[in-house]
Amino acid sequence: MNKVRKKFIIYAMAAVFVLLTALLAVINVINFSAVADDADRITASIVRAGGELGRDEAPFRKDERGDMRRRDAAIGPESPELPFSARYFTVKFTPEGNGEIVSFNISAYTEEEAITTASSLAKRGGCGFVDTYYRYRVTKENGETVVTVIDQSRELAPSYRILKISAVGEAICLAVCLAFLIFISRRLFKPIEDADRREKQFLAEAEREFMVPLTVIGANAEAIERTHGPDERTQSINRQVKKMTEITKKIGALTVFPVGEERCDLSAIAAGIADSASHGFAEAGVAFGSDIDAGVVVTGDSVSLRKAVRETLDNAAKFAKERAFVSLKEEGGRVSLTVSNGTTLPDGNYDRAFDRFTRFENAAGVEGDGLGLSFVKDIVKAHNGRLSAAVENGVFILRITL
Amino acid sequence: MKILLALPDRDLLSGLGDILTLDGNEVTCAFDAIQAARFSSDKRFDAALVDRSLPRGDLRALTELLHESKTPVVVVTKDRFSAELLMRAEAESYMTYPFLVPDLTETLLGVTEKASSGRVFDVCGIAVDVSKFLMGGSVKMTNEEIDVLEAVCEGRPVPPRRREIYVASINAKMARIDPARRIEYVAGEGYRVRVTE
Repeated sequence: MNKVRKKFIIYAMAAVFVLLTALLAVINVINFSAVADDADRITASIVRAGGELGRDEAPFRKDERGDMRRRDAAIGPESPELPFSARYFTVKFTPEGNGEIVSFNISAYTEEEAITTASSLAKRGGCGFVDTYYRYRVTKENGETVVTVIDQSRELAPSYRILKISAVGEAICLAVCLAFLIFISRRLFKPIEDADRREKQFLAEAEREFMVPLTVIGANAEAIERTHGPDERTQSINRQVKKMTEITKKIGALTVFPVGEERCDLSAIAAGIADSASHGFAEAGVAFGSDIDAGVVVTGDSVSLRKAVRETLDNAAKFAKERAFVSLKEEGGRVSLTVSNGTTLPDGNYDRAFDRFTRFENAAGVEGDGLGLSFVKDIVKAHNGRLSAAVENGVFILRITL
Repeated sequence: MKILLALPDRDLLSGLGDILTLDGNEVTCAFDAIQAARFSSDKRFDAALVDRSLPRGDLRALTELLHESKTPVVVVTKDRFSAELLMRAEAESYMTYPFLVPDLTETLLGVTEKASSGRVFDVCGIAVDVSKFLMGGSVKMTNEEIDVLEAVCEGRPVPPRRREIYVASINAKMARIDPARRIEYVAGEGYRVRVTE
């Protein structure tokens, strides 16, 4: 799958996951909080009623005219049925710590268990849930501690059900979302992938189709030279054929970046290329040195990495003034290849050097097409590496980190 | 030299033919595989340059026909130069477009000289028959691979052009005979054939 498309799916799924989780979390928190609030109001009523809700309150009340009216129906703490439906117990503790049952209207506990549970809750204090479905309140007054525990299983059961449904629902939603994104992204990115593939195909075909005509031009120029002797024009043709060949090869190579997954001995690669480059530097009167750590190994495509190292050193060889240096270090799990050379460029950041067809003022009169370092950038990016270029105190420093 | 040029591009055929003739060679031009095969049957050549995409025929069949008359073959291709190309083992040398005529002449001379040399050299117990372009009696080598291998065995600097590609292809071919042998770069010494455990 295209990298960009993969990233799109990952980011979209992450956004959906965060939003959905946040929404369901809020719903469930509100739900559970509401249940807890209702329970706290009931326990407060129980405490206000002295530890027991009176059942002798008639289901009827007198209205303004003195007529008997049935109490309004309500749910939760306001319900007139509450004294009859609430399942709870209340335990009072004296300052000395002795506990006595004030009210006991519950089946899940024995009286002894009620006192034991209330005793531990008294130490905890405040309000909260105990034994999953029970809500408690601890009230301290006049040195006495009153613990009320009320059964909330009928109220909590739906809440837990909603929580489970939320979790399952979220998983299903995410799965459906993922399937949808995979399907829709294929259609969305197809034009982009097709365009990218067509561009690469065109560049590869153009490269191939340019090669024979370039050979023909070069061969015919040489034939003219053989029969009529070399002159400016044939030499100019030969130079331009050479230049076009280099550009065509590089443009073609930009279309193909196989990134193998082999272990590459970068030390050997760098040392070999530095060794062969040293002769060129010596001939050009440039002092060349190297400091290459042994045993530096990276996972990647050895052919591409060789190209990257060679292009970097070739670049230094073209523009080096007086001195050049290459170092290869491994530190903290990262590998750093640095190529530096004396330069006439002013100090500053030169990351633009990695843009295609970019050449600086010191390139006047120097052969080249401005593609070499863009090549290096593509290779390094394909290996998830970083690179930078800068001039410091008259030294051009190109650093590749893998 | 008697050279067979088998190239589909008539302009190139004509240009190269003229230059090689001016250099004192006897050049025969063919623009498809059928014509090349006919010429090959009529006459023996010192070397042949064959385009990989020569029409009207199969490259392998044509190179086999040329090899039967002991003609070393240089294949020229639009494909990118790589170790995989060298592993195809159809020819004694591979060139890619575009190429310079001096490089072509050098290659043709190289394959011709090797084909008639009768030389054999040893690479840590593996015999390389230069005139047959064979390593270990069975693995096909190219002209440049033999040059690189000889340079390594004699401790000479390896020619820098496409060096890494040739070293990779030589190692792949040596591994077919003995995986313990491979060319490695030794700091301070250069490329050496190592026998690993």
